[in-house]
Amino acid sequence: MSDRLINVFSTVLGVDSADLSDETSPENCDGWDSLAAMNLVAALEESFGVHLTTREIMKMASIGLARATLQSKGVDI
Amino acid sequence: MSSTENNTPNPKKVWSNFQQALERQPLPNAELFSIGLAGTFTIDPLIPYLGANLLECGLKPAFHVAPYNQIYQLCTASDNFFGGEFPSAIVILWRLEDLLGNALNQARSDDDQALARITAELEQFIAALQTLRQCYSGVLVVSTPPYPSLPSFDTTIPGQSTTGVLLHAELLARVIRGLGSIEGLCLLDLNSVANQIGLESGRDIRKWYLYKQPYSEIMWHAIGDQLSRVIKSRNISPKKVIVLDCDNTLWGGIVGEDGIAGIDLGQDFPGSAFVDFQNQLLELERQGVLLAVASKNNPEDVYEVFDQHDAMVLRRENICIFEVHWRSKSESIASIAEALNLGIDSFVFIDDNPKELAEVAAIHPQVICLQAPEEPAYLTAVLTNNALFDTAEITDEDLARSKMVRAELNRKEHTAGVSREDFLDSLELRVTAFPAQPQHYARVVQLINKTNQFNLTTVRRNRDEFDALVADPNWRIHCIEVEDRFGSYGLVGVAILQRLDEQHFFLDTFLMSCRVLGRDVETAFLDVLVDRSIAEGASFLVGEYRPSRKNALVKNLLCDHGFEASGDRWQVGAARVKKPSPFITVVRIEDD
Repeated sequence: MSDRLINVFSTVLGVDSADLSDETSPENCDGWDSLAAMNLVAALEESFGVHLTTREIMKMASIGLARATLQSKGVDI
Repeated sequence: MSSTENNTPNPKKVWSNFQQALERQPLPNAELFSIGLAGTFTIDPLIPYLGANLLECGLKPAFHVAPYNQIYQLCTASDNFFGGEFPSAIVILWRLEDLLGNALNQARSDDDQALARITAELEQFIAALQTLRQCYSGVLVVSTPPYPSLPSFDTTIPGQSTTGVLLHAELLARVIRGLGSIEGLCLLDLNSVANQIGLESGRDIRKWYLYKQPYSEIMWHAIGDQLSRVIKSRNISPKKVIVLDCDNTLWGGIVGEDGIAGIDLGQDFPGSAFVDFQNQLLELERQGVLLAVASKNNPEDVYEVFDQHDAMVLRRENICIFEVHWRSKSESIASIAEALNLGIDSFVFIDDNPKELAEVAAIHPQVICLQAPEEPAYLTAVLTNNALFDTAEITDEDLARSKMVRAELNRKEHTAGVSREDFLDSLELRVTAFPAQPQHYARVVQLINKTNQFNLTTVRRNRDEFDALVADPNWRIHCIEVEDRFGSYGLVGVAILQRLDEQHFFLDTFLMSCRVLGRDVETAFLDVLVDRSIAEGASFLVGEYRPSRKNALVKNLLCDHGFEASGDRWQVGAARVKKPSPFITVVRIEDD
């Protein structure tokens, strides 16, 4: 599975995109620590031209949840 | 190239570019440059921005991040941080609000006790940095504190100046004075960076709440730029010469067509932009950067502007060489380099014509080529936004360089058509040799780090490494100043000797500025060094030639001066060392 969102996570987490899915979360991905979370916010905002609220950032506890959040903001992914 | 380009950093891109650059294993021969980062807040986002900048200028960084908000612990037990080893540079970023907490809010409301507490706390902080300085000899960079990001400091009453502004200004002044008193500490002016970016766009309050990380990516980008300039100025030779085009670079229009009265230069825009640009160049010249002109024009037209245009800021005496003719700019630059005896890699070339820039770039890829933009309003940005001329310290020699170079060019005219002996004799050369004193150290360190050609071993040392030698009883640092009847060349030669044993001193460093080559000054200097070694009870001076890409000039120096091969090295005693020419007066000043 490879799409724009997965690619962003793959770059920031340093994990091959083949090993990522919507189920990937900090619990099952070693690279996803608090530092990576911080970099992810910057990368997602830049890549998709959105501004995330703290509430949205805190809810994005998996790639699937990040996808849902971005979709709710009108991003087509 | 111009500031019209939108320069918004793309963090993901910067980050992944830096990772990819590292994976390609850049600069395979460069040693790792280790950098310790510490902050009163999460400092990690700095890494890609700083790292990419350092890679670009040839330093291969390895980062170590100290635990969050442990500056005091770092200062007093620094060997526990950064994996037990001291990094080459330590960077400390901090904020008043992190260090002082609620006391800062209270001091704002004119609470005298709170103010006293703050002052005491800041003094303690500076004392801790002083402690770190004493046990750490690498490059130490500490930030100045930006305006606090606290609700009470951001609440303002329209029409009134706030006590917050006053308090910040006062604390900032105290901190700058305090940090300034710590020897060899480099300031990172984070306050100015924050002001330049704008406090609002520099902050990211969400990330502060979520990750204890206060700044936006734009701010980190700017910090990375500024910090890399500070670190680079300590480790990389700055550029020395700017070669300037004239038409549409120093003034608007074409003097050969528009005439002296028709060019744009003066109080009104667009002429004012060229005046500002010339003022920038004049300031760089004052700091020791040499200016030269390469213009395709009739020489008399160009000279007329320099000599007679009222609004010219640069005058003929500010330009060390004019190359005004119709030959190529690359030829002009080559002949300027030859006349100044400087490596072409220390040159910057500014022209408005892309074809000229391309021609120079093709022939001299080492030259930094900058385009004077078509839009005159952006002209000054060409020089403001780059670090080409950053230097760790500006010395007296820098300030007098331009004058000395012009005297040198007079000397050259003087040599035409006479024999070498006559020439040397007529110069009335005087070499004064003396052990380096504290007032010379800045210049000595500068020469150690930038002399390329006449440099026997090319050992580079930063100020801290140098200070360690000064403190060590086995090392001697000798210098020479040279003058002739045209004027002084200043401090132009450095030798560092290490006592190996009773019989031998080792010539660890022997270098001279190219300004005094071809005058047998090195012979006088080596003779003095052998005498000094004998005076200290040794019998031999031992030397070694370490080839670099640029020092072929001194390949045979030792052999030519009577040194004899001894294993891998060369040595000489009083009996065999070559004696200096009788035309040189040598003055020796001993230790006091």
